[in-house]
Amino acid sequence: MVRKPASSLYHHISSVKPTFMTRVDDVLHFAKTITFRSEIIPDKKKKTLTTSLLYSQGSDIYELECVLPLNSFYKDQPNGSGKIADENEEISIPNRKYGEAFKDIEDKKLSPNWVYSGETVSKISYLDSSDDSTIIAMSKNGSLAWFRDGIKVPIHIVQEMMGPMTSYAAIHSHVRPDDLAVSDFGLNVNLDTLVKSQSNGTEEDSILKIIDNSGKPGDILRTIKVPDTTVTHTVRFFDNYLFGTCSDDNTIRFWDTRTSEKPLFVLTQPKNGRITSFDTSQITGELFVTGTSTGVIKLWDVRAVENATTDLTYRQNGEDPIQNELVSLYHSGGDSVVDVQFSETSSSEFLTVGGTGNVYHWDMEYFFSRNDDDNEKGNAKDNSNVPAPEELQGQCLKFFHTGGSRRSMAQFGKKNTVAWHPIVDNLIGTVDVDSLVSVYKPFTLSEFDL
Amino acid sequence: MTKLYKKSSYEYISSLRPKFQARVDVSSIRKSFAFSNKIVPNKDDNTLGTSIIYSQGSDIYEIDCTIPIESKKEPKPESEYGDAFTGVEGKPLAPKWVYQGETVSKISYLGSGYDTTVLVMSQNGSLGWFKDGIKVPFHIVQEMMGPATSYSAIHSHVRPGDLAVSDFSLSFDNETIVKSQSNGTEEESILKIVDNAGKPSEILRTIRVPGTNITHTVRFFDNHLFASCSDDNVLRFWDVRTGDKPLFILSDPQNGRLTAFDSSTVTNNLFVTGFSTGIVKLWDVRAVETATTDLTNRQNGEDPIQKEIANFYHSGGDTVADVQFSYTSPYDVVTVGGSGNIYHWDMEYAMSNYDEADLGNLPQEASEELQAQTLKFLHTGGSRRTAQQKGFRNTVAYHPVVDGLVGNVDDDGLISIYKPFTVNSE
Repeated sequence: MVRKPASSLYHHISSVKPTFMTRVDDVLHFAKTITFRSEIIPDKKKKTLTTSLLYSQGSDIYELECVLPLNSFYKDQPNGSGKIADENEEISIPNRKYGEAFKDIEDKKLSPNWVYSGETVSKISYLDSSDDSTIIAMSKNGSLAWFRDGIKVPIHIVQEMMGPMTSYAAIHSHVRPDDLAVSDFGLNVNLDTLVKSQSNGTEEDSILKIIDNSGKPGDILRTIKVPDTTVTHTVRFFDNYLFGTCSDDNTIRFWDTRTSEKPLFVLTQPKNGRITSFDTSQITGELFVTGTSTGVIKLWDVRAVENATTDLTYRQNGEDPIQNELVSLYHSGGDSVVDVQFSETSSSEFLTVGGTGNVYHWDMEYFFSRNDDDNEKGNAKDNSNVPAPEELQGQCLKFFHTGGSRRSMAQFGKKNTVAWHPIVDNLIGTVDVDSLVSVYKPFTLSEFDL
Repeated sequence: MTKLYKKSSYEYISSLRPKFQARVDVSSIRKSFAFSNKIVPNKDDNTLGTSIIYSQGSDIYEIDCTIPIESKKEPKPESEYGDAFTGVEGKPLAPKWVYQGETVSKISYLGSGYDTTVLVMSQNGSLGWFKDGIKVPFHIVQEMMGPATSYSAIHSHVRPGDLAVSDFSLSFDNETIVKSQSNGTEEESILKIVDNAGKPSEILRTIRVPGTNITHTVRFFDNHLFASCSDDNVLRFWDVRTGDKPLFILSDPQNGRLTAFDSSTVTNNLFVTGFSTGIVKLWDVRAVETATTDLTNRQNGEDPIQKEIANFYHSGGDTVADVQFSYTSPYDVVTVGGSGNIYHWDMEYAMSNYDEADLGNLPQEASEELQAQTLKFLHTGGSRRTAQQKGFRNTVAYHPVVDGLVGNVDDDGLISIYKPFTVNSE
């Protein structure tokens, strides 16, 4: 049984099924992704907070403006005189009613801001504060395109070969069309370097490309082969140089963009099924989360993972390093993990997306406060402080988002269909297979205690 | 003969012959000089406090000095020296940091805001990280030496100084260090990319520069692009993230040995090279790179035609021992002659003839007019009375914050700081 850990009440939730200028015959057929722009415009008079979503459908990228009620996001709005809002002002109460964030665009036919002709967009990254480009979009075959506001076509591209004459034909064959067409990219913290991963076609190699995003955006600086892997599905940076790649051999390899062709160290996890997803916390620069096909979620500390590779205490005979996670969690009912994402505003929160399409919100605050050095009474190896798995699960799973159009048993959860807002705390955007776009802010039980 | 184009006078100049707690024979010991970026304005008497980082052998000293805030409209009479060092004069100095067993050849001041205050290189290529309050290095990259290693070549008496040439540079975000060094007797010099962010002093990668004995200078242009300058008169341009091949190269076999090179931290594009024959050249890295892909006049596999923006010279063939771009002004450069003279250049006149949009068409100007317009000031003075080679690298430095302030240390340990007073010839 799936135990609902917290009430599924929302501070705010709004949905829209966008309509388009061009005829879209079968919306189910297109790949969709979603992300936020970071700009926010608070309007105190209208009590609104305006931000926008970037939504891709096939090769088209649209910008959807959403107007959110300000009081759902800033409870203690000081008014003009600097006092806390008085009692008779409307205070946000959690409700099940759908909001009207998308009222302005509900009946408007949208035309794309950008078009990546001939490609299917599989991921969008918004480039905060870059003067050259506004977004980077990756297509299903691993090509990259840089777009700028006001120009519909890409201003830089990194085109991957395809077609029957190339090894990429394998990707476009009908035998395993999607299996090998898995690619990803990660940007470093100051956005001047990009690493992308892609399959190498039929060869038993996946490839990483280090690409410049400062002096000459799109310039391929270096290509690294990841031997004995056919797919490297995730690439994520920890800081400006250290990044991790997660491949189909259940190994996460850690690299520095400045070192040569060998990983600095590796983390192998043969148990708990396939590692399907991986994300790093850019706030801490050290934490990362892995998710597996069996629904197991693990939180790690990259320093501990690295230190274990040099600790020979229990492995004098050449055994593999003993690398342990900080904590392990799970999706109930064995719901596989298809995506994990750290919050960009909080160092202890992340979300996971299940194969069912459900979105799980986790907050590790409880775990961190239990394990805080100040609370440590005994020695460090004293495990009595580690909470029982059930307790931890109950305390850390803060929210659970179903809803939308998730009614069948088919695999609905997809990568890059759920996104955190980069500035506004706890604002999430999702897109369903049938193109229903939602934004919501969860209302978690713990807030009743406050 | 050295010909003076401008009257040399100073807005201010002060000198100090420091005294030390330990007894030293100053002239035989290697010295290097840098400014800290500390500035403490004092409104009461219109002065600005800053400090000098000065190394002598293995000892590193910090010496406080005060300079006038208001730039005087009138030049100071040459005979009158300022009192920047009154606070420390006569006081025996104790070293702030000591790099035991090494001879410091270069100091980079990172600032007290960082974990590291100064990064120091020794003559054999080792690096030491120092911070305020701790006298010994808290990280080191130690190069091997001694009779059993290939480094013994460096310490032999045959050519002691020849191969012990090393250098380092920090990326603009201070997160990456590149250092160059000789590989001993092998016909190769080595570049090491060293981390200065997550794990300071971790060697990330070693790159070999084949066919060179010495790579005497490395400089970053931004956070990633850097160039190395070797004894085969070739500048190689690299990106810390690329593989083991340079992105592109600039070969300049004429005009004698390429002895000095510096990049502008203000413009990111300009750099200056200096030669043993006294020639100084100003380049644009974008034009150098564009030329490598331009095949217009070289369809038969000729080398790229890479041209400088302008060139200048030290009069009397005074060897260029060091060049340094200002940190505060985009076109100000000082060059140090083998004579020990310091030449101040303002490249603005040369840049006015240069169209940055047209990288294929460089003026390559070298006229007397240009020379006269560009050479703004010449600093001699101090204790430069013999004909021996007196100019050394890393003995002259621009202040990182105060515009136009330059400091240097002479062979005999005399430290001077000055700001030139220049009048535009109209």
